[in-house]
Amino acid sequence: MNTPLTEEHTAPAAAPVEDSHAGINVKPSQRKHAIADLAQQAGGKTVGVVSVDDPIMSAKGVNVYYGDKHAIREVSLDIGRNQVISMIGPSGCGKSTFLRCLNRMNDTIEGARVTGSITMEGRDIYDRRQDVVQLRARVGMVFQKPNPFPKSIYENVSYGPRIHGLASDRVEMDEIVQTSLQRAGLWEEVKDRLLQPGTSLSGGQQQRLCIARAIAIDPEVILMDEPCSALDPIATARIEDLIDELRASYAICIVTHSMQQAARVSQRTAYFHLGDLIEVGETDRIFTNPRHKLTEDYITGRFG
Amino acid sequence: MTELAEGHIVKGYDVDLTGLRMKFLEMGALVHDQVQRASRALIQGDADSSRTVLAREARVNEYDLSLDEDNIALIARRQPMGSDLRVVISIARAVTDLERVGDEAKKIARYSLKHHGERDIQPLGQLRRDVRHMAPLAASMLRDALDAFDRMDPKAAVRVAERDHELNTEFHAALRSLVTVAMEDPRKLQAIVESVLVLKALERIGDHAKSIARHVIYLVQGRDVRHEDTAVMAAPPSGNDTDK
Repeated sequence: MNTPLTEEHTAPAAAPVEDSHAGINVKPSQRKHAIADLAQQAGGKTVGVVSVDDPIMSAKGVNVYYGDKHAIREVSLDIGRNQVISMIGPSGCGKSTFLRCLNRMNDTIEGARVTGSITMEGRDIYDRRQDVVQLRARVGMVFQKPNPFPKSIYENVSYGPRIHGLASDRVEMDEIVQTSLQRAGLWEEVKDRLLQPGTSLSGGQQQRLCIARAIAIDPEVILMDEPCSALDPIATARIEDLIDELRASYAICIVTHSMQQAARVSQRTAYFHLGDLIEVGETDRIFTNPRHKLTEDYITGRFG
Repeated sequence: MTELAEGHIVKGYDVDLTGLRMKFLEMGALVHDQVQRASRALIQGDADSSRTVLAREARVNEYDLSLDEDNIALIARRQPMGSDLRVVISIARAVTDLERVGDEAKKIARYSLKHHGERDIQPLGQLRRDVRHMAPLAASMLRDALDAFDRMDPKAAVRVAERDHELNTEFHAALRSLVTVAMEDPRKLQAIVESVLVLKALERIGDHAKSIARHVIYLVQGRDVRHEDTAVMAAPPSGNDTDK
């Protein structure tokens, strides 16, 4: 609301508006242009504060291309320790793309190219000498759909520690499995059936198993890509409660389509739009007094 | 404000927010009329008008409850965010002010009925002169505050707040003249104290108008200036380099 609309409606050169992104209620073409202008106005300059003191990870001027498609543009954003940052925005805005840059998941996509710099504890994670497997141990990930391995509950959690050599004997491994399941709030429900398949659990339990699996290898950052979108409200509440507890030990980045969820679980919120990081700020402020018109329109449900 | 309520993907949300705003403005119009009518009835000794004010006080209270209900339902059903959230919160706050303005108008009307038919001797004569000065000021502050709310105009809101000291000056001048009357004839002390309460009611109406004007700043800029002076209220919203 504080950002004035530009008077001139020049052709949007840098920000092509794809039909799929134009939003349901964007009827007149002028509005489409107005939105494109606003995005252009951002011009890589994000509103709000992108940096934090002593970040665990720091992205600077990150661009991602999928072949010819410029998926995210000049994104700079710090990830703070012991806090939850949520990434919100309409489908195709680049929030998941950005998330996947943080543990180099985009490497697995053919034709994907990442420029700019992303550092973890000051070291470039895109450096040629960076061991990607090691990086993904430090930056764990939880996906939208719970994806336990087709193995026992025990093996789901012990797999990571085993391949990373975190346990020297069975006793140590048992301890890691128990601690991880306890931290994920699942221990009490599964302690008597650790040898049953992970897939025998309910959706919410499976997702907590995936979180237990992620924290078993002692990561520093946990990335979550819509971790609750396949869960019912009660299972969602359990995960959200868990996220709040995990914050004491990890930095957490969560991509969510639910603005209420972002408002509930995160301390900072980043709003993406058509590949631009439009606005970043304390969650309390973003949801009561966003500065950019695009953020305002999105969180109030005016387009998306 | 109209612009603010519209444009949601869910059209029912627009309808809810517009309805809330319309009802709030209706309540505002009713309360403004209560103030004008109660003051005029006192000045002119019009008992029927005073009775109308008292009878309509129930409607003010109904608006208060009904708007509160609408606000709660809207929060529960729509989970308003951003400017929508500020609309809901600032209306909730402003409704409380309006309801209290309604109570002040009731006090004036009660006084008028109690002293109806009394001859224009002191302190009633003096009080009528003072009300003639203060009431239009208080009523116009209220009207302009509601207008600023409707048009979402922070500058107009600041102008309302700036006028509060005029009303306070009038109030203190009126107090001084009533003290003079008291010194001339201490037997009138009871009547004088009652007169002071009427003047205080008008002074409070100005405070509530100022309070509504402050809610306009929150509504438009997201700054809570309820306990700030007018200079802070008029300060431009902070830039992009801070996160507060």
